[in-house]
Amino acid sequence: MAWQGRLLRVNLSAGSWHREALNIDWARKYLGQRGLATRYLFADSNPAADPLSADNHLIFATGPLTGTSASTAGRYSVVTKGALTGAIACSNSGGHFGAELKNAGWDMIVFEGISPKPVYLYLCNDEVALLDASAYWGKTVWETEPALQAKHQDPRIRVAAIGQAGEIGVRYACIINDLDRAAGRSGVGAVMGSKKLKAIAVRGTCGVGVKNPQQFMRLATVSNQQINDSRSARRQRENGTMAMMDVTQAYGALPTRNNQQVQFEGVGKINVAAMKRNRYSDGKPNLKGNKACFACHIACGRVARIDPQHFSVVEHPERARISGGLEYESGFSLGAMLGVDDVEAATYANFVCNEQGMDPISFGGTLAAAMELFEAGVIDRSHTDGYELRFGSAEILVKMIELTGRGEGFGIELGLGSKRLCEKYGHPEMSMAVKGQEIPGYDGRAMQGMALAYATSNRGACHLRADPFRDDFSRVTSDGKAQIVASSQNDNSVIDSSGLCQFPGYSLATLSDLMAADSDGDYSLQNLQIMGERIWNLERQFNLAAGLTRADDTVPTRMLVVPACSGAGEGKVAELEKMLPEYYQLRGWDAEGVPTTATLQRLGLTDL
Amino acid sequence: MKLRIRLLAIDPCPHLPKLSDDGFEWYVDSQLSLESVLKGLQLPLEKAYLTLCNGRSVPDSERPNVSLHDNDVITIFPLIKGG
Repeated sequence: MAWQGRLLRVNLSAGSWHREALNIDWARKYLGQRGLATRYLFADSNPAADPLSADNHLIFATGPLTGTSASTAGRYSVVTKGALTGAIACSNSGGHFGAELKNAGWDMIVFEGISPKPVYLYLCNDEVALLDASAYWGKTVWETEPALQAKHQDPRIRVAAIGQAGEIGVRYACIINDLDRAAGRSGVGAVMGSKKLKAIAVRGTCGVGVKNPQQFMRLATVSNQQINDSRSARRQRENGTMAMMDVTQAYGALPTRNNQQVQFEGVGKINVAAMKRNRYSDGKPNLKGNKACFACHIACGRVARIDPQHFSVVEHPERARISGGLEYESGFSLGAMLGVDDVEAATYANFVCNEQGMDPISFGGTLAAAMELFEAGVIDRSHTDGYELRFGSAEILVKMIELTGRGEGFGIELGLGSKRLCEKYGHPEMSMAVKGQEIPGYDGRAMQGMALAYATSNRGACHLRADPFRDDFSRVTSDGKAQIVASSQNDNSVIDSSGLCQFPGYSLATLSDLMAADSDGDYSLQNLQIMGERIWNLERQFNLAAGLTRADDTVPTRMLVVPACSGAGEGKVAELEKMLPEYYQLRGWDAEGVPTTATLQRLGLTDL
Repeated sequence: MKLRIRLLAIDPCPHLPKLSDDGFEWYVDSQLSLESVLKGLQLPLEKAYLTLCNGRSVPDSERPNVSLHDNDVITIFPLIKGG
């Protein structure tokens, strides 16, 4: 079977580690990755603990399909209590790190405690070492990864690391692997930094077996070919997720200037066309190409190079390099959300996010809130190191991303996230966040299903927990959204627990076939659907134990009371009061959003 | 009747006029429904795709009933997800 059957448990306080058999019963009940790691977190740590304390655990988890030949089977998740949200955090990343970890013979790594000094974990198959990272503390991700590869004299080592942002506790610090792939959301990098854990360096050559290799190969060959040849994959290969920007702009769902508008007049300077357009300065485009994660047939990842003459790189020529370019979420958050129409400046800020390990969605949302605070006169230059925080300023974007990444000046306040920042200055309504996490690139007034998805997402505002896209782009109404959101949340919980990516659009039926050839257990379609619902409710139970309540199931006040000013949703607000009770009822939760005893019994969650 | 057609995130269509940022003009019989116009464009799309008429969403079930007017702007895009 595809499980290696063991996890590594590391006690950072004691500087010790031991191997532990994987709980296969749990693996069959919670599938893997997101679901399985959440079960471990619930069992082993206190959900009420401070996320930055020794009592919070940090889990790197693969799925049962991670490292196999199924298309996109390179995913892993980082599960912990989020530093940004105080809720369950599950950040999913691609690249090659997850598959390398599985190939080294490990299904999961659980970190406990806090190390007295900076350390990194080195894994090479059975070889395990917790090593001094003092030489790398204070270094960026881009410095750390090649340095670790050089130290261990193996360029094939895969590294997941934090930058300075994680070390200094930027609340939305993330973990970067393969230089520009991120376990990006909810502040998992801040948790890693609080544990004085700089990096994991892993090399694996054990291979990943499956239960029925011939059957698995037959199934994977067919589905891989279908994915490879699909129009959808061709589009994503050609345009990446950035293709979405023209769509949200046309629809009036593109968050602009901290969601004060929903369409951006400068979109033509930051969209796919702008990335592909030859520049006047050097005759070359921003976009250099695309790249794929492990075993991926889509290759949606953008590769870009900043204009060498752009003001942002004049003092930082080392950043005029080829690296991960703008995806939709970074493009919107470092562009329209700030009113910035400079694709080179946005690319620069994205590079710094990768280099220092920060979530661009939350950084952009926080800077947008600060800009609104500034323009409303709530804060002034005395608060901002003398800088004019005006919407539309590419110079401010470039300056603030640097200050935040290094934890200097007003950057320290930007590192708090928009919720804490706006509360500090007495204007919580200017934070566009849910459960403390900044919203992604879809306004919840034109997209009513997305509003409900944001409100009910266990990890805070997220566009990948549910899949209301098709219905939201077809009709502006709150009718029927509760069912679409709840059902797709369950399905996505399964995909996120499998080791596969959401982008190929795997059906649960295909996943069921692959799993039957991959591992022992009941992976029938019906059981997978139950697993998805179980995982969602498990996360809900974690949040309730952490102290979250129905009051946290909401969206920014602006979306509830200020009608959209243009687009398909013009005149609409997010109709959450209608959708939320419907959603709770469908979920089998009481009026306060608490799963009923009958629901917990039905899902086999009474042992929590 | 003159329509403006905007295609977003759709593969190149050599049989259609060259796209500018603002789409292209398309002349059709004034009696045609949105559904008929979409068929006439012969777009390289999956079964599921989305349409806006003057910025307002039109569910696929309503396309046969939507009558068009001179200078209407039709926006067409595939089902995509951002990330």
